[in-house]
Amino acid sequence: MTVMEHVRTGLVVDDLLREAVARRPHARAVSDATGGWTYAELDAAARTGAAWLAAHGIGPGDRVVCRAGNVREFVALLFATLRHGAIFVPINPGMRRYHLRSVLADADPRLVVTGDDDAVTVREVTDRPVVGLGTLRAALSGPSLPPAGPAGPAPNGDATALLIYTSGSTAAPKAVVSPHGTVVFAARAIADRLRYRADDVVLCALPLAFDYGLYQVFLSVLAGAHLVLGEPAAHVRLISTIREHGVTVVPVVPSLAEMLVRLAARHSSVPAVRLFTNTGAALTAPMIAALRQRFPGAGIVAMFGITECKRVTIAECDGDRGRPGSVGTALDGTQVLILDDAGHPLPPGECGEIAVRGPHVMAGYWRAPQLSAQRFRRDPDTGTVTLHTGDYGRLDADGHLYFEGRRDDIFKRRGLRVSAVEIEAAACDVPGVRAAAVLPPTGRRDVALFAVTELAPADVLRALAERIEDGKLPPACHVLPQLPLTANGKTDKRRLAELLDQPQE
Amino acid sequence: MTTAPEWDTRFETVLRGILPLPPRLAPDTCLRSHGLDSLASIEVLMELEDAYAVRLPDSLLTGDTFATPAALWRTLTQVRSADAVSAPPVTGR
Repeated sequence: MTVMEHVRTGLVVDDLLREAVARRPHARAVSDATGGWTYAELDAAARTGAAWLAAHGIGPGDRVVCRAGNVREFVALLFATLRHGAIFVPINPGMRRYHLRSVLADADPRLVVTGDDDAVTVREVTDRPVVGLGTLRAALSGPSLPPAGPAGPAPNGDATALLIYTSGSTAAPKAVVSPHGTVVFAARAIADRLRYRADDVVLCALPLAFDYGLYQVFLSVLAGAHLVLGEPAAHVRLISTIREHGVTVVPVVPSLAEMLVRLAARHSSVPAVRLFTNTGAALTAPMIAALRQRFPGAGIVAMFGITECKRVTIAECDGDRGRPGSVGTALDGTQVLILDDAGHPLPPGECGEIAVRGPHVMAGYWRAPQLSAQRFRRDPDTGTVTLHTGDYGRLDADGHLYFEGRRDDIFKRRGLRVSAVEIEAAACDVPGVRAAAVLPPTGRRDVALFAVTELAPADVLRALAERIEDGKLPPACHVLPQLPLTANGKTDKRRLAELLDQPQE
Repeated sequence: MTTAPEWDTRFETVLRGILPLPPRLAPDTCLRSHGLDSLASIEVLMELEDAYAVRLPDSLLTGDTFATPAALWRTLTQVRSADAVSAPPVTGR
């Protein structure tokens, strides 16, 4: 495969909504806890929103930060901003002050829309105009403003659509610059595999500011499906939400899958979910089995991605049965490579850094040329960009990817090459262990295992010893009532490290 | 203003088993700032249902229900008095 030129679709993100409105104006587009909109209504709200942005002096290329949570006004503001030629910057309402201050300084926005409750807090960390969600809501439902007229030339596929902040391993969060054409390509390539249908009802209980959540908007709009937004505070009633809306598709990270499995046990009949997708962090085999038991009609699709190219691979539905642990094959029209330390491709079966080429590779990091050049490497002869993901894995002979961990998760111990993911998977295989996390060793301490279980630590280690080599076995097991999670539902390893460094009690 | 807590010890034991709570639990202690994320809410819910052999209907499970010990105890008490006789056993964990 050498056809890795940057394919231009010629489309901008807003075209996806325009197509959906033309096809299915009266179909449900998006619902949240307080109501819903059809595609025609969402389109009207986006139009009004664009005029409202113009009235706030927003111009092409200006950043509009949205920290509104999982509400339908978020979706309206997304399309309003893009239609207006400005750049949409979603931020998780869970982001703490410390990060929020640096993120807002970095995004350099012209406007910040935030929940009414924390508008005061946000004003303390930025000097930019801050508007509460209530004000936006009133503007969107009020009399429609006169059309703004183009703020400038209409955006093309190269124009930046989104800045998506993603947490690095150490430093402050950095933003991935996502151009319109690249977002559209990625959304379509994912849609080609997942095949959401017009009659699907997609539950986005993940934060919309997380790209896995955000792309549910694009995937739903591409299919003309109904997107249902769930707020984290409403997760205890997820099963009712699924039933009330007739949800058929649920994207999950492990913590959300665990909630669904536990909550489903409280209900005698099971809602008709037909598809679970998973990325962000992989579901363990026992979790997949539990989902199948509680939702017998549903298929499960494993995927792998990073914000820097949105999605890398997607497996076949229930592909874990034939290839357990695989996260699937590269999106059509894209390429996955496994590279050695010198950047040379490795043959199938060998583990190395996962690298990616194709039209889904984003345009680098916002205002960080050095970091961009390190991760998005351009071949001086061909101009082809290779994205170095910093993740490790291997391909089988048929091109199926197996993820082994972040660079930081792979370490040498007693001469053995060990992956944190491998120990975590082995620990989760122990009956009675509900979740596990492994911290690689540092100069000051050995490898550390955390487990959520009723078992005694010694029993966990004994069972683990039957599953992995002696050299890989952690010296101790710390039992926790639950694993700390990041705002995106991944295990918060930084907080685990803090637990070790400053033991409580 | 130290009065006896309005809830029983079983209730507080369940909360303490899941959340890292301060030594003294006030009716208006903000549970969310003491580790009550959505996964912990579900854990609290299911353990309370087990402990009191009741089923809290989803319609009562809002963010406010889990905001403070007082709010949660109120909801639990309401359900216990309503379903004292007719509560279906919670099974199928």
